[in-house]
Amino acid sequence: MMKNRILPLLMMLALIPLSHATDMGWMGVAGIAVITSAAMLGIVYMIGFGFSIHELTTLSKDEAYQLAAVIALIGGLTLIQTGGDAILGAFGDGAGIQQSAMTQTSTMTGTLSSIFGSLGDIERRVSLEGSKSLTCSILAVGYTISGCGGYTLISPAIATVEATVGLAIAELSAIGKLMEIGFNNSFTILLPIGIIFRTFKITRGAGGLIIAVAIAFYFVLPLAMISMWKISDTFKDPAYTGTLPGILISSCDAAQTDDLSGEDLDNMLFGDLPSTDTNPGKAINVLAQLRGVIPFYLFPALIYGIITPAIALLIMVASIRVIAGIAGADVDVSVLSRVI
Amino acid sequence: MRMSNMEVCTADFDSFLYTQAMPVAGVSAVATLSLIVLVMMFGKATSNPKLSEWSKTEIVQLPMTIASIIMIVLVMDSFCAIDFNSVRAIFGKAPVEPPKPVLGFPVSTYTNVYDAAESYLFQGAKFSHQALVVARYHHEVYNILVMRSAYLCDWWCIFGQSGTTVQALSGYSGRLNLMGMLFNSDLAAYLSDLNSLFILTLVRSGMLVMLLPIGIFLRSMPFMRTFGSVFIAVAMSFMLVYPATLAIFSMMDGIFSSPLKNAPQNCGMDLDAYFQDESRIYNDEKGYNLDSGVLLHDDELLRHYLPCGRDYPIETAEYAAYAFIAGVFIPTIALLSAAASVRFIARFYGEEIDLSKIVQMV
Repeated sequence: MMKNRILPLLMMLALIPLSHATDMGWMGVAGIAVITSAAMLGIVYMIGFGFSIHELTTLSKDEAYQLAAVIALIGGLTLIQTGGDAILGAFGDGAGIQQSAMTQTSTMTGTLSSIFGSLGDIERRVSLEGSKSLTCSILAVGYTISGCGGYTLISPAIATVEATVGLAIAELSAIGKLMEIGFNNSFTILLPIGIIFRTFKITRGAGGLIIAVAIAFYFVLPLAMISMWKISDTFKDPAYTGTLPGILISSCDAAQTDDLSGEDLDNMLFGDLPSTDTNPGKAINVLAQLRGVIPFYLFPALIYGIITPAIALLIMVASIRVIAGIAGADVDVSVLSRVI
Repeated sequence: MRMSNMEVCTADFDSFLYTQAMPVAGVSAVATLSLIVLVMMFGKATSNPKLSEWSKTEIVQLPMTIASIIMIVLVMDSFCAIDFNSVRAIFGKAPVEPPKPVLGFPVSTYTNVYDAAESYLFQGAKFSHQALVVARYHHEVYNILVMRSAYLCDWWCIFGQSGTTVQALSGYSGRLNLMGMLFNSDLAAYLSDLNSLFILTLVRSGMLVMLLPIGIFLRSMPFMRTFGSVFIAVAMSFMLVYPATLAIFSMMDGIFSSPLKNAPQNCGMDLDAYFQDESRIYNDEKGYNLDSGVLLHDDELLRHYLPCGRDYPIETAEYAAYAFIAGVFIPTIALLSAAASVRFIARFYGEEIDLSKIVQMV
């Protein structure tokens, strides 16, 4: 087995002094990859020219064009690495789009977390009232009544909203993690390796895709998030901003089975709320308060936590396809869209 | 040919490759060359330009096949020989700690590209499973809270009974629902990661020994070149590109960071380790004081069932999100990169293969 490994190692050693690769960084490794590729192309061209094999000369010419594209990519990448952040920083209020987007994501996750906590508090109080029932029995004969049925219809709706907010937190966290991964690894790992991969014919598809992923993670996703948030801020209904309102939940008396009074019913016909003298009246008052309050809770979750990240992710996936195409890899990324 | 119980980077595999697969390919190549020469001679003798042209085309393809075989074997051997810690050092990453000896037996510290790819998927599976455990633990606790009820005696409870039944903590049903959804998401991430791990295992142990000899043989034979190209392209992509992409992701920072590590009020304990032991829920339940005071106060119950007296729904949601990225998103990118390479390599051989439909199935 060792003998079989010596041959490729010797070949690699003959072509590239990898022992110094650690000191050279990714640009050095990319340079070595370009030189190795150019040497191989030269050999292929010479063979094609020497034996008059038209396919080989055409192949080497095509590869030379691809190699020039790689060199241009390395140059462009170096330029972006040094000056791109400063230019794009304007989009992120001067802090750089990545930092700005990550900070905003973290802030919004915090906001949604406090909404989640408030909703949980409301749900627990409503459910407590709704769960009450009275039992009375003497000598095994008795009855059970629940005068708080009106509340039991409210708590599932709040539970659904709470779960929605929880999912919005998960989605925002996923976006935040993707941006963090992109911020920490795009320039140090993904782009250099993508360029090295792209240099060689058999790994060109993978290289193009990795380059596209790196650019999409580093630039497109934060930019899309910030842009979408700015759009959402512009068209935000001012009625749903500000301090989260609380609600007043009256205690339910499980033994009381009175229905709404005639006066209450008359009031409701004119859009007024019933009194809180009866259990149904109390439940209707809670429902009315929730009707006004729920948009405060749902708006940030749906717009900032679900729709905005979903659109940003779709933009990112679409950009991967476009950038991969430019980088020479025609990849069907619809499977990633399905993941979203 | 014997093609079982072999894994790349082992002596068995090398033995099979060099003593069985390569000779078969060599015989095929010689047979093809002989055929080409015969056809060329026949074409010249009969002044048939079609036969001469065919033999010229084939004589170009033959070195391409041989070059492909040599390249895939060389690169694969390099993948086996490369110490991935050296690759990590190129990108400024600290070396991977060697695994600890198992039961006193030393374990191999050799880490090649395939090992690095496998280590990413192992970490991903472990991470997704931990997310699953945290969601399941919370789900069980919320379930207990929601189902608890108290009977509060109003009057005459000795001779008859009259009182109010309260399911005081049923308001945790929202979080219970959420945990169910997060559990499903974690499960999908875990299964997706395992799926990728099995693909890698297949690649390491079975794919090449099946596809490469068949591909080499078919591509060496006249009129079967198209079919052989497909086999070689798939073998090259999944043997070289798929593990290499996963190995790259194994170098990336911050993918497997537990949100519980930074949870507020974690009272300095290892929450990940705490949630691993679900048996404590049931063991504690047996002798737990069921008086009404406890049944009505969730603070007391949360203190009893959860560490630091609080639940962690936000962190569990974050865990699910991170697990999804680690277990679904990133392995999918690795699979896509392999599919992209199949297309490129096949184009190199003059074929057009679109694996996107297969990837969508995955």
